[in-house]
Amino acid sequence: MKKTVLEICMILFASCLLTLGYYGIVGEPNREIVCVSEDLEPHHVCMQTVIGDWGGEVQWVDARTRKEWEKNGIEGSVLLTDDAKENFNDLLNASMEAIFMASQQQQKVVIYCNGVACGSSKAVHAKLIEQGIYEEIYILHGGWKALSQELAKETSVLNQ
Amino acid sequence: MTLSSVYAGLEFKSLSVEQTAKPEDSVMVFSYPFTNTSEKAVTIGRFNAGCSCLEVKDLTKKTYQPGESGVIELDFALGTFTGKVEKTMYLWYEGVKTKSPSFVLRATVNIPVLFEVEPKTLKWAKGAEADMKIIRLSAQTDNSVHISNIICTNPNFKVELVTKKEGYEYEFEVTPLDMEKVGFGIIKFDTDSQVERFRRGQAFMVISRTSKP
Repeated sequence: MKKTVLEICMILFASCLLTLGYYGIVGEPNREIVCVSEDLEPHHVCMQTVIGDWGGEVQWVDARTRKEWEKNGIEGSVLLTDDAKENFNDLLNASMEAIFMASQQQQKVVIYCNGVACGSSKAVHAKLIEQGIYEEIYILHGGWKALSQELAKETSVLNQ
Repeated sequence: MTLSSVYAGLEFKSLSVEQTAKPEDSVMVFSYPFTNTSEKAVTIGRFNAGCSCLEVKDLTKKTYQPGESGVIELDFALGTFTGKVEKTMYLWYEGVKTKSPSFVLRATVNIPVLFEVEPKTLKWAKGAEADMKIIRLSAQTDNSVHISNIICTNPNFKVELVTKKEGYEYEFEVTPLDMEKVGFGIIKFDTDSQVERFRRGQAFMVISRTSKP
């Protein structure tokens, strides 16, 4: 019995050493948002498409909370969220002119919330399409996580 | 009853629930019944919602013995949004330190509108005829609701309120004045509804370079 316990402890210790070694050589595991355009639901878009094909020249819609938007929302973005603390009609009224101007400049509109499963982008997207002003409105796959990864890459390039 | 989802001991009837709200609802309760089908006691530890609108109603009882059944209830605050909203609640068993939750509960609610506004946006093409166009508002309730105030944000649009059936059906007759410039306007209206999210409404008007009437 004692021998078995000792063997299990040794195996666990060896596993920990291997994991640490792997981490030291290969580095942190890749937690990047994986996005394949062909696999996306309709009206969803990958960050690579926004940056690459559209040149990043889009009208951003932030569907997170006001606090998050004020903290680090993308410059030029408008706040439009289904957060229960907000009056949605007021936010819609405040953001629709920006959506209309984007339509006049043939600019796409891209919505982001916190992550892949936050749900707010989908609700806001449905509401914007329902207004019938513009159809080129998309949901960013991975939301803020995908955006912040891109921002981190840009910062890293600028610092080099 | 078909129990469909097992997560390390807890077997849920369903992890996803969809409901339709009544116009007067401000909070809706979502219930997720489950049974511990494992041979060990299971304790629910922490939880985290994807938004401030969703809360676990009562989790004073966290540990469930083998064979014991229970219900997780979520309070969904509806706010002022209308339409379909889907939110998620992430839950972890006690002692689970991973970023990925032990299980995820989905709550979908369909929140009705008080007034159906059609169309929601009136469109004209720049340079076209300044035709008068109509937005129709029809109350989606048995109780009458009145439009008490109208504001048009752009003086280039002349807006008139026409009462078709007091408390139930209204029209906005909208005529643009200058068709030579691109323009955007909002018709904001107040109602005498007792429900906060129905006290204000809006419709939009645009004169665009390219327009699909």
